[in-house]
Amino acid sequence: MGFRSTLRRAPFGLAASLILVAMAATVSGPAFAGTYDGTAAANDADKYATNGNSAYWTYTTDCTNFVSQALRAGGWTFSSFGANLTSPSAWYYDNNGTTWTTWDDVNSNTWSVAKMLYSFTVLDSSPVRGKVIATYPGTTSTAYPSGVSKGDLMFYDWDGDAVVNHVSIVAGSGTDPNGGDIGTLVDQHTKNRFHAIWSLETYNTDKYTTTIYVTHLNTNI
Amino acid sequence: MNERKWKWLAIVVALLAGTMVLTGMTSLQGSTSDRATFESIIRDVAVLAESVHARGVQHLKEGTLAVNTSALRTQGTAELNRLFTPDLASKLAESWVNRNLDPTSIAASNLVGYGVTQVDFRSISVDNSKAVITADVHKYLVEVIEQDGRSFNRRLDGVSRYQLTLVKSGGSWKVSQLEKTPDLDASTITVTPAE
Repeated sequence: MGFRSTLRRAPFGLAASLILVAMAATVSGPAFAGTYDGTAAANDADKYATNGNSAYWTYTTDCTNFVSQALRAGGWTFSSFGANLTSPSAWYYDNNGTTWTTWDDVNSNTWSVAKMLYSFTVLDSSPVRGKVIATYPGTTSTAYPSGVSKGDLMFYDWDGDAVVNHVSIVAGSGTDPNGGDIGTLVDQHTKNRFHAIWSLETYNTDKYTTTIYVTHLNTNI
Repeated sequence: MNERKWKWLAIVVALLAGTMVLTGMTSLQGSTSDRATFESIIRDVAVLAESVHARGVQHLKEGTLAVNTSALRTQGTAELNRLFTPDLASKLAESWVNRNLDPTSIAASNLVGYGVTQVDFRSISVDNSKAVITADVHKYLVEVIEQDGRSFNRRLDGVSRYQLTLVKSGGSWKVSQLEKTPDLDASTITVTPAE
């Protein structure tokens, strides 16, 4: 029995079902499109921390593009795919029909610009995909910021002017292989780093003006 | 390949080489005195937060922090207002001055030295009362760390790219926009025993 035939036989039943589904969606709050797996995102970040993923374009300033790829691997769904690239509520990478990197690949600003990804994550996505759970100065000696899970994001404002300049992704905890610091570790691009201490305190000569926004991401997205 | 094609190829190669040379060059405008002023401002901007913090640390050592915190805050804010436009100075006050005078932060401080060793201008564009500058600022921090019961000085050298917009107001230049990008290079950390 085809779908059209079903429609002819039970038009009222189908209409009632659609109404019930719509009502259920209305009363149950925001409709989640999927699940975010922070461990999967962290694994992807580990894999490509020091080598780029050839499936995506690489930018000179690549921190946000790198983190967006990991978020995608963790299950973040595209938002407003194909919308104006500058839209604050759009988050997507469009390889225009290929599975490899070509000149016609495009992405939303939220995919590749740190301050735009920050706004999308905590403000402009619907439902919002994460929230800032703490801020720290760049000089912090805190080893393990509380409430942080694998796949969460660290946004950095180097100048202290409340504009985000950089982002990294939480990869786990342990010992930073470069600085030797023990604590929560992140992966990042631009200066490519695998398992750096989350505050970047060991490396940052601008730490006395830096503010870090610790951002926990929602599992339901 | 005939002679004509060789000529065209030579022209194309020459144009490409010329473009590469031009794009690799820095574009510097402004008078010598302006450039000296810009460098002085950048050097002061680069270590303003550290100098505020270091003054607090010194007062803590001398047991005079509590009675001087308000004065230190006033001094730091005055420095901000000397270097930045009022709106930007106001925006930076919390993270550059207040936070670096926080008693807990000062008590936990391990900063013993800081400075700017070099400023390399990448581009300077001056248009009457507005200047847009990109410069690489070479800066260092020296901190005391404890390892295996011994004290060491850890010196971190880094290069931050500064992108600044300055406006001339009342005869003096002030920073109206600032973006810093530290290089986060781990290869420039040196650890030596503290005396």
